[in-house]
Amino acid sequence: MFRKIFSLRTGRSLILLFLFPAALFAQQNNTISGYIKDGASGETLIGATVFIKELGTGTTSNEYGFYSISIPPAVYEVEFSYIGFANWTETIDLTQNVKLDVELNENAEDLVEVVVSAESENRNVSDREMSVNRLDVATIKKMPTLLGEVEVLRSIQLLPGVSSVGEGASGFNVRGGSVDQNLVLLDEAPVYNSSHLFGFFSVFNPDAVKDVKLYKGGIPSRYGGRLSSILDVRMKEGNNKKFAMKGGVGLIFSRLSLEAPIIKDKASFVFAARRSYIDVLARPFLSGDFDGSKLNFYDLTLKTNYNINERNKIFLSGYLGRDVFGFGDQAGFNWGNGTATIRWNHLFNDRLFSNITAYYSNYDYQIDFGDESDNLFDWDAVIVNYSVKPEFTYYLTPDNSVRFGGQGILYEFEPGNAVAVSEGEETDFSQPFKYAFEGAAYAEHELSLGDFEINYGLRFSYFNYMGEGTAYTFGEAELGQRRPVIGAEEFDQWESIAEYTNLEPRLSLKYQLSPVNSIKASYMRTAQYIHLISNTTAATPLDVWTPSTNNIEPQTAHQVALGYFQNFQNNDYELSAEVYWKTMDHLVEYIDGADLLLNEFLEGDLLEGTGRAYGIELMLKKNAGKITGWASYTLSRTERQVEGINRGEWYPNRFDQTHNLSLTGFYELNKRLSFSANFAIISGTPTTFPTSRFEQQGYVIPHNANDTRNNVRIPTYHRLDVSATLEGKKNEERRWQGQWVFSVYNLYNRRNPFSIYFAQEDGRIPTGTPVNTEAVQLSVIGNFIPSVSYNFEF
Amino acid sequence: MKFLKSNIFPFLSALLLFASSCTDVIDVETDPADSQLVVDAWINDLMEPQSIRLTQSQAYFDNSFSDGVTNATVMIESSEGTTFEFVHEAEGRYVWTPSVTGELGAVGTSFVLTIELDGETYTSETTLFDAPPVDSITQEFRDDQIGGPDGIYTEFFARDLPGLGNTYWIKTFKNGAFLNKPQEMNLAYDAAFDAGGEIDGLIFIPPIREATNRVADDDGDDDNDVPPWEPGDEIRVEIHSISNAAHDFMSIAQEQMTNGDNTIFAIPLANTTSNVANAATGERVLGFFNVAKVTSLTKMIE
Repeated sequence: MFRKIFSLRTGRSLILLFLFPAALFAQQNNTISGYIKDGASGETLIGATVFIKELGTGTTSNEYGFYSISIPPAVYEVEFSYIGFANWTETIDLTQNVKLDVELNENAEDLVEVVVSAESENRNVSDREMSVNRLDVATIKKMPTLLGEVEVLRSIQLLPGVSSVGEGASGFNVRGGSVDQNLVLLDEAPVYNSSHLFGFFSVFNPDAVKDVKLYKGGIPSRYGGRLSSILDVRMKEGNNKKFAMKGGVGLIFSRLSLEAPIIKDKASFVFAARRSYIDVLARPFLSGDFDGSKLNFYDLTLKTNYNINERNKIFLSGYLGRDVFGFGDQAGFNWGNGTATIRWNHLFNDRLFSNITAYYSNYDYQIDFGDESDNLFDWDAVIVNYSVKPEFTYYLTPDNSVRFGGQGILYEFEPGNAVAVSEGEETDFSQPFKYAFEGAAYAEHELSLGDFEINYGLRFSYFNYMGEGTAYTFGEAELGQRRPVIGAEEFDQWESIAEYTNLEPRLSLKYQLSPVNSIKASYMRTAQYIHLISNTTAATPLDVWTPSTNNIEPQTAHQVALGYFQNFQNNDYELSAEVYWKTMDHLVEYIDGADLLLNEFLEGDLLEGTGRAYGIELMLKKNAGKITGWASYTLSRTERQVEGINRGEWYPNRFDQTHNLSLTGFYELNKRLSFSANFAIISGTPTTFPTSRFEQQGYVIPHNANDTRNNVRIPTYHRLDVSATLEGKKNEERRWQGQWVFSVYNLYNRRNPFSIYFAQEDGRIPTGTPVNTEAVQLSVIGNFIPSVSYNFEF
Repeated sequence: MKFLKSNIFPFLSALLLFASSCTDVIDVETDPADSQLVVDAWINDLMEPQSIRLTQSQAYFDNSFSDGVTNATVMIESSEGTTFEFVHEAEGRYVWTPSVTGELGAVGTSFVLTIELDGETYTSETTLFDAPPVDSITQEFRDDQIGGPDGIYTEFFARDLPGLGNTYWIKTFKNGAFLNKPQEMNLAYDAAFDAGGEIDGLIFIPPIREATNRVADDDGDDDNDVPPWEPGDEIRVEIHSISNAAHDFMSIAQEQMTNGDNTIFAIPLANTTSNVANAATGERVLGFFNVAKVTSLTKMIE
């Protein structure tokens, strides 16, 4: 089966092609390699710098903290550095290969003698990558929050090019892409629904997160499967030096995380848990009908690692999160993700690093109504996938490395298992399962030639929608109307129903103009084979993923981006300016009155469209001094064209925002007290207004005589949040460190619009009385929201 | 499954209250549009005057009654060869009164509506479908109703007719007054909500059976403290057979009229699809033509 669905031959020839340039550069070099870690906790550091002073060249550590650099034999001074950590310099006589694991120590003021690598690095300018944002957890934790909860996903919305349809909406939009076009990875396993309580809180426990990296463009060939972005969230490995505990008590969640060595310096774990207690708080106010209501969400994160020996390391990580709502015995609703990842880092030799990941990921929801056995309604839906993903990195010279690998994903979709029992009569209207396989092979070559750095790669992706299942064919219908089923064909297990392949070239390059400025450019083609079926303003937890089929083509996109990067004043200020242009094909749209859930003939309700998005993103960042922060501005447009919507003409997406300006600032008054604030002002998103109304059987029905879509903008959104953090008194004797965080969300109490809807006035209108219709503005947050939380470390 | 849209999303939206959500009536401007002919032709086989109303669509915030179109000729011709003339009475209302029961025709008869107006002809076609009898109406005292007061709640029982694709509009009348809020509109596709479900030939599922209870609002006479039914009230439940296209029309209309209840999960504004068109150009006007068979049951609340 595997051979049939994944062409090994194609994979192998791609790898050979990319190894060819490598051979040209191989000389009589020796290699320094090893891991770079945080000396206090033993956590590996991602993206730490290794710099060979004599050669003026260097490298950075990879996602697992590993580095390798091959240079001619000589004596070198090698400098290791990482933001916020003290530099470490080592003199190395490279007469043979050297293994060197380095532990860096945090930039504490009592270490006077060392050169501190303050924030002032020129990464912004010198890194080849563009359209990439990294947020470290320390920064995320300093930002003002809603109800005191540190939030990964809300934080990235303060970066240029990232938006959302409004407060409370789950997911986020990157450079004009819809929410399902982001691949959210937690230790390499995809997370299908990244939010708790719709979009208010993300599923990531900040105490377990180590690094967050968002790719908006120029995505390297090792990532694929979504059109618009990759959000790569890496979990901590756990302190392998000593026991550590962190926790917090807020208005929404309580958090606790524990980390400790299992075998010192060899094996460790981290376990983090959160639970909300709105239901506990609300219980005194719930009586009668709502007594016994459940309303909570929780998540558990566990990771452990084991250093078998110098060459082998194993990581196991797991996540389980759930939102639970229940109303007495009469109704219940819950949803959640689960992921499990196992990874094996293996060093074939000092230059060839490999990682093999295998993961399981699932998202499901369950609904049940009815408290008696002869009248009930039970329903659940599931998406499950299993994947194996080998990857190899070959470090040739400091200027030259090759990465190649592949991935296979097996999907199982259960779009709805539903049973209704009415007066003891049972009907099962479960939808048939769907199966698919997605395979990919990729290779990329990273090369630096003086001031010029390039990473080019190619990803070959393959998708097989397969049996067992029924493939339907649909007839013609008037534009924008439901298409009738005209044929059905049965397929056996593993039998291919529809196959698709895509070649996805990726390219990114940098030209260094001077030590303080550079220009960068990138191109990517991406393909997406699974689609979230959703036509509501904000995606709902009930939305179901569907594979590409004989009727639904894979979505594809091209994106080019060009950027200018400049640092000022000794790297204290960073400026970046990027423009991008993106086109998208085979986007999924919906007919009016589409029936998206528990509908076997769903494909007849779908339309296909094309999209385009373009914009300018500016970011100015201040890294040093008492006041730090950034300003981010995006001018953009994202549009669609669909036969059957808006008379076939281009129209803006529901999440289109012309201007999006946000300011984020941090002020450290003294060692104990610091403040932060953020302000956002965003153009109103477009929506559709009716032009007219007409009467039918006494009802007043809205009508848009021009048949337009998203023709009007809702008012501008703006909001200011502030927070103050008070650290407990430092006491050397005591390991317990406390911290109070006070914050106010929406400080000046603005009722920001989420949407405007049209309805008849509330109340019963007697027959024979004219009906008043009105426009109503919905604000999700209608007040300022103060909060306080207490965090501790032990 | 629209069940969710109408039941779960508003239910979930209630959770947004925790986030202090609120609504404000605001003034907005809508694009101007030409007014269009509206045909409101939902007739049935009951022994009572049947009326078809012709009006003009109006600007969305024009809160007056629509102007009636008074100078048209309106008639319906059945596949059995009978012609029924609808005569203008007032304000665009055209009326025909049956003289004997079943005068329109039996189940399966098809009808053509023809409207002549200002030199143009508008036509539409439909068929009279069957409706199942209302078997019973029950009442129950509930003290654990989600989001509603303690009191008497009702439920009707009827069984969907065999065969896939039967569509119905179930209407409830309290003391003779139709429960007319958009949220109270009760549409069924077979025994459940819509086509994908394929729940055929069963007793209507509970959410449909229980949609005979009024939906509360903020108005003091009808708010959440007032029980839906009290002893002495009269309840009448009617099942109207409607065509599949009529079901689609009313579903979209209902979704649009109640879209605000879905808060952040609202769907885009969508237009209903009419089945009345200009005979010469094929261009559709607004509104709908349906001929229903009606079954009903009346009961006194005890």
